[in-house]
Amino acid sequence: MTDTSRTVLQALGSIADRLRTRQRVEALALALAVAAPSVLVAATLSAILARTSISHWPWAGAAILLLLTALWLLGRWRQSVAPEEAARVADERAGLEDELKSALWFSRQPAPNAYVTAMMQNAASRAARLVPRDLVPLAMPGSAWVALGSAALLAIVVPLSPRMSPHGVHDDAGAAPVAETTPARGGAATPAQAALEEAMQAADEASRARLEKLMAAVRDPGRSAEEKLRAVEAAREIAGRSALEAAASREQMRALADSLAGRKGLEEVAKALREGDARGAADALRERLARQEGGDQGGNATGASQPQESAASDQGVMDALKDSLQNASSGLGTPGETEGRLSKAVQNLEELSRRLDASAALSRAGRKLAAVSTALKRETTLRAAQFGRQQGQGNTGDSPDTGDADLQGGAMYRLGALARERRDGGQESNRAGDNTGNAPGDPVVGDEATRIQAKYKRETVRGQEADGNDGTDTAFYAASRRGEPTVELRAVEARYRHVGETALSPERIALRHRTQVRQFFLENAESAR
Amino acid sequence: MSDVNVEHRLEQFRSNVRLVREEVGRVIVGNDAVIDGVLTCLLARGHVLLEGIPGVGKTKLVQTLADALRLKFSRIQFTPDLMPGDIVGTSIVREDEAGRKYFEFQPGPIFANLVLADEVNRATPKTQSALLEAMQDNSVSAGNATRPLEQPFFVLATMNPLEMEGTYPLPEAQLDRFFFKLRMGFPGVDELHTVLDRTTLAAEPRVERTLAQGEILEMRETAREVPVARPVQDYAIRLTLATHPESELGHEMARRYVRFGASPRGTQALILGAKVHALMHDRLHVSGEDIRAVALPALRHRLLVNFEAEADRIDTDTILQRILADVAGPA
Repeated sequence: MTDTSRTVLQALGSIADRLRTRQRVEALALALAVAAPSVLVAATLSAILARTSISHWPWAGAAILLLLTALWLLGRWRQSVAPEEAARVADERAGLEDELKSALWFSRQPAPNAYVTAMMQNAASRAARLVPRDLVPLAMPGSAWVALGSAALLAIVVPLSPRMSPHGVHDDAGAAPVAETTPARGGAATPAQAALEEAMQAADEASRARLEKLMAAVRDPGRSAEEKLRAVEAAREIAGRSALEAAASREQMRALADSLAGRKGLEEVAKALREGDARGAADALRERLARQEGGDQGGNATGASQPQESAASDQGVMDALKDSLQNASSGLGTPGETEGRLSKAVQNLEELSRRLDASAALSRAGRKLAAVSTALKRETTLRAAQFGRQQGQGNTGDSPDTGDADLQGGAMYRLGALARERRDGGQESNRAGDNTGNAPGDPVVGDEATRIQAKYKRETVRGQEADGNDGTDTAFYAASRRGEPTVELRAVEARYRHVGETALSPERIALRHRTQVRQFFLENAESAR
Repeated sequence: MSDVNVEHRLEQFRSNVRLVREEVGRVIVGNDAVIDGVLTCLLARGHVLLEGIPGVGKTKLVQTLADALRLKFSRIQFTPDLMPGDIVGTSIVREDEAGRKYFEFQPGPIFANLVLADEVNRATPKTQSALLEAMQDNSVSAGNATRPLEQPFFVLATMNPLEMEGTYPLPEAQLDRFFFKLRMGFPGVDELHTVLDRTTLAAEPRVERTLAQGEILEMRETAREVPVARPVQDYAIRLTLATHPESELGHEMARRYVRFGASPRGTQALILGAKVHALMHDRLHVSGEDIRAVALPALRHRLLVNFEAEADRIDTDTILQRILADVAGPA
């Protein structure tokens, strides 16, 4: 190998190394650009499909894609750059016009002549001056920038979108939409179910039955978001009603406290009632009863007993409490009767206290249901907006006969507009009718409206009377259509050109007749022979 | 041959080409590509067919070139009644001192270094073939003897694309004998001004004789020595095959519009023309760009288009330009 060949090959080798480095950088950038969006997309799709059986598919797809990307990256990483490729790049970028390519080929040939030697010397001197760093700068490919930009955009947009976020909606109330994947406490799959379960535990028998039905609706995956929203709203209503009843009970407790004011021995009871503390009032009353009986065991026995009318309403319990307390405080009847009334009052107060606690728990569940309802409403609104946009789009099909055309007003609108067109002096009418053609229509947008092919042409029939004089003319509109050419202009031009070509040919024989003419004369020559 | 000799010959080649260009440029205005094409043909041992409308300087270019080169020049005006003997010469009966009669060959105008065959398509095919045989074989057969032509032998044939009435278009097989087919375009406004300034005065520009016969032969040898790498040669072959409709490498345009593609003689013209082109541009290696530069004049007359191309007004230049754009360069 000559010195010049060695110089050329060394230069090409360093360029090939540089090319390989750049190839690896590009491959790495592209692999990252593929991996980042695929992970993001998989996370998003997985969140969307959380409650379905295919929720793990996006991750499986992403894993396959990542594996393929890794294999591709490995292949690219190990790929070498041939000297021919290095010569091509160097020739192109240094403007050497295939000189290194030629030199590389001649460097592998034996016994070069003087001209080849001179050429190789020229090539070697040029190759020695090449700087691989300048020829092959390290840069990420444009596609990698685009992919990375897309990934960054996805990373910004996905968390902002309430529907697409893998983490769902995290509003300040701690509520999340139905699609959240994290199981809530008590085994409930969603916050809506958790809140409903809490409400069921706190509610009485009648309300619990209704709440169970609503829970079934929320749990049913076949129900739409709107139906689930309605169920949550109904549960909220139950909780709200319970809260109203509790508020009314407290009001009546305050009124009862006012009525007990000044009664001896019942001050503590009145105070607790005024504060809405039914349990405190029951305790105070129990103490008074114990003091009054002086060790009588009856009060304890009755105080520990369960309420007899557990299913009675708040109002019933309140009325019974009022009666028993007012009778006991009036001092009428025997001491035994008074004790019995007080025991009854204690029972009523304990029942009331239990109901108020249940109502408070139901109210807490109601607040959670309100937050869930807000999230569901937002989701439903988004869907409604999308539906609205779809509704706002025009018809894709063209069906003028049914009036369902993409033109506002339908077929009759068009007929009305056309009927008025001629009367308005040739300009497209800017007033058009509804189905009867009488109501004003929208103005035509732009300077000139496109005319429709089907038009109504005004025809006039000259009237003639019996004596030969001109009579009254009759005018009517007859449908007409714009005529279409039967032969395309291109075809006419081609025919004309063909005639021209034929006339310009030296033999003055049409192209299509040349074969026949030639055959004719050949046969004549044969026969003459 | 030593490196010093190579450098010397290369330098001489470049200076000679520069000289001829300058001299011809004193008379011929514009048309640099045509002048370079004619010089390329001369140095690649080819013959050139010049096509152009009347009055654009075809004949003037050849005359100027003949003036610039110290070569024997003859001009043959082709007419329908021109006979082969009028070109190659004829044997006449002579009488020696002893009174014996013998035939003596009287050489025709083709026995020159530079032959201008003006309006070559006006002569009959019989007469044309006499010229074309001489072009191919560099020899003339007259009587019982074959006489070699003196080198360099360079034919410049002109042809008028108009006035086809009463002409005999050259058949494709004979067109193939021409190394290049060059087209002389109409000069622009500035060039016309220069033409008028030069030709409407009392004294017209004169051309100095620059190159002798030996120098031209030496330049021809130098051109042949330019090395061509296999990738570049492969590119020339792929270009040629792309013009063949039946070839696997045939281009889409060729499949649609070409009846017969370029011959191997066309590939030879590509390589030889590219070698001269590379030397004329101060390079000792042939590049893909050199091949592209000579592809149109070397191949345009070697393609035979079909009726569809005629009907669609697709000429060979259009087809070749598409092929040049689509065929990948040297690998």
